[in-house]
Amino acid sequence: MALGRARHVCALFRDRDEWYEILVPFIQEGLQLRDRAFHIIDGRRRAEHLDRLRQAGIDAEDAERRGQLEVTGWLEVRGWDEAYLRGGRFDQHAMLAFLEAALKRGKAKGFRLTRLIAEMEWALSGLPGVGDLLEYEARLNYILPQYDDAVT
Amino acid sequence: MIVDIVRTHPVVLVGGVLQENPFYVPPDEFLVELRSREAGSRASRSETAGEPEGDVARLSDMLRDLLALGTLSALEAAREPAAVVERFAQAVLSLPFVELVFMKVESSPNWSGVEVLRAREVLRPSPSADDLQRAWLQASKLGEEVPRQLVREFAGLGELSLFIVPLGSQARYGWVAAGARAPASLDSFQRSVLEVGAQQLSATLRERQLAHLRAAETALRESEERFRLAFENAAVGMALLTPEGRFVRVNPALCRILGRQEKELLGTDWPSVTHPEDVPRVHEAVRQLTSGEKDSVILVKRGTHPDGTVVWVQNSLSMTCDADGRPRHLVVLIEDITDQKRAEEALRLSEARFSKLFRNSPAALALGTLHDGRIIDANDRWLELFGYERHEVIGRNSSELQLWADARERAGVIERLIRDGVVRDHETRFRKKSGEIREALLTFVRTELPGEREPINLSMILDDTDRRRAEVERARLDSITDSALAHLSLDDLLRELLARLRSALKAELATLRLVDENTREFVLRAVDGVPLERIAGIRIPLESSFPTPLDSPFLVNDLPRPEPGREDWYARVWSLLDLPLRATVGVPLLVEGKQIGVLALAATRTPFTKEDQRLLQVVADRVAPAIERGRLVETVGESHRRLAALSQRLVDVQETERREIARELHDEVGQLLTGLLFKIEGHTSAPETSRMK
Repeated sequence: MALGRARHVCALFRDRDEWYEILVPFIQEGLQLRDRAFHIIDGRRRAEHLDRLRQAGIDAEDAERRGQLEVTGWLEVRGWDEAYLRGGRFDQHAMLAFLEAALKRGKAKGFRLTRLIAEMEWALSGLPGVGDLLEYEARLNYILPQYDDAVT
Repeated sequence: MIVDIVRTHPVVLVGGVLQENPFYVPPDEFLVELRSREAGSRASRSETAGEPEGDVARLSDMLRDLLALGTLSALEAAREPAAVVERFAQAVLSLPFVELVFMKVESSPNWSGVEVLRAREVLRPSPSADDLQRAWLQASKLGEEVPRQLVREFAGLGELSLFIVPLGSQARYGWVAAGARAPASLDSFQRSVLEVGAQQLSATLRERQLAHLRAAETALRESEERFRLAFENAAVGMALLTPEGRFVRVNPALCRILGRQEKELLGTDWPSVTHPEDVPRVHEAVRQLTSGEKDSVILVKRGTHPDGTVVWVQNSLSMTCDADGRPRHLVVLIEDITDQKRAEEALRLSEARFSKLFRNSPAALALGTLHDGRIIDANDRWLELFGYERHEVIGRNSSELQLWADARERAGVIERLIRDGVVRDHETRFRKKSGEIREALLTFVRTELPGEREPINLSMILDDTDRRRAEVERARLDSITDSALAHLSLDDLLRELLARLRSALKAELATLRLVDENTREFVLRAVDGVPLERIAGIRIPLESSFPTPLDSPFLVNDLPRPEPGREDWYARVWSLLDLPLRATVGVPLLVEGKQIGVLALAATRTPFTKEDQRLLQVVADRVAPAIERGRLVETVGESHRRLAALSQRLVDVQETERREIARELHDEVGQLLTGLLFKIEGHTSAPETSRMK
């Protein structure tokens, strides 16, 4: 099926190969359509991730340089003092604000929409506050319909 | 927890397939569920959430399983309920950890006790049908048990490890029990798959039920709206009443019918707008409905306007009951049938009039079927004419009754009737019950009658026998008293008349006697059959009464012979005529009520009839004035003759007298006077003779 108005997607993969096999076409299509790509992954495998994209024929460095591709780790502190898991703990409200800001930023930069991919393995890590994850995911459904962006 | 995460996403991507998430729970609902869990009401969820999760691959597999179950969402509510359950059972059975599934689904309104027992073929030894039946009997009680996970020995199946998931809260829609050969047991992932699948099925059942309820509600609302519209706009009156008969709701049509405002009716009860004579029937109808004796009642009664105007209404009554079967509302449809009643009354009167006219008609009328002549009805005159009783003719046809003197005649008449629609004044002869043949004029009219499938023949029969006889008599009379008689003298007229009468009535003797007031006797004036002179001298006293009085019509067909030794006029006639007379008929001659004579006939063989007597009377009535006039003319003529004779005699007497006087004057007085003169002259001449000379 094609993605409709509901763009909050739960993607499950048996392994990493399936991850890239399925998501790379999605990423490539976005870059070609001049959509912004925002990937939140385990920061420890950032290089591997970019390498996988390059292997798939994506000029990740160029896209990053042009600000079309942004890859960040869960715990990575960004320039404007924000992080997915700020302070090593899960704060649903901070995370909702973070995501909304990221989507707005893409729009501000002139991209048609943002294709946001967020890995969730951290949710199985027993991180403080992770018990609010379900509530966070539910509340995300209030926010995302206000944007055209796809969040996976 | 992972399962719950999946439930927060409207779209899932599993195995490279992007699809709508059948397990998705909207945020409002999900947050409520979370709060509920936090309150500890969902212990099972907490238990599941607290268990260690597997790896992503396991999660992915699990999601595939979930989605397999989730395809139930594609099972539209319109699908056959048993098929939905079967599909779910097969989906559960396709889970790798399930070898056997029991399901019991009970969902209103029409999912009634769908039960399923499905086992994989891998179950070895394969259970027999009896084994499965026994297993089901055991398993059918599983839903009532508290434990969710249990191990139980099933006859024929051995020991099974079962996980039981309720469908809906309190297992309101039933339950699903999935299991495998013990000692295997389901881990939390597997249980979650089943739970989420069961939730999905429950949701489907709930949706279905809600859809049904919504549809029912919509249907009810639409039905109520339709009812309201129908109620308000109906051409017939409608009313809802309490079982006691008070108006709860009335429509405009009823207000019009009863000539009252809505508020007037709502403040009153049914009997008060009913004609008093009909109230008991209203109560009886309501009693029949409230007692359940009848489901509906049709009641025709009279309603009343406030000004007393009566309207006829036909009421269709039925009773609605509440859930406990107690009478709730009396529903009444009221139709104004006043015009219909008037028309019926007019029709009834018309039919009564027609029936009365038919029955009492002076004409003989009958209704019969056109083709076979079966008599449907006949009036009294008809029955009298033919001499039958009504029951003897109704339903029988003219052939059976042999009504036609000539049976072949009917076919031709009916053929004309079919062709022309009417046959008028057909001269025919019919047969009475007695066998007597009568002559008649028949008029047939072809018509249709309600309730009769074939055309009807309305027949009017006029017995023409008497009229025809009268015509014959008239002809005979005319032959007797034609205008030629007027030119005859009285004696010639009487002779001619008597001759014609004697000939017409085949008599040997015809006599006409006139009253002689001076002697108070009947004097023979004319006779035919014998010479007048033979019996002219016989006079009959006016008071004679033997053999019959002569001052009124008489008819004697057994004339007695005069007793020997008798010497009255009767004996003399017999003696003079010397005829063996047997019959006589006669009538008085009357002028202005006064008898002037008697006209009589006598015969030796022919018996006379009343008709003969009537004919004689008519002749007598016609000729009596002429006879009287003739007699008067004769009398006047006689008087003239006598007057002329007297005049002549007077003249003769006068002449004789004159001659006598003249003779006397000549012979006696003249001589005397001459003598006297001579004497006188003698005296004067002696002395005076010279002077005298």
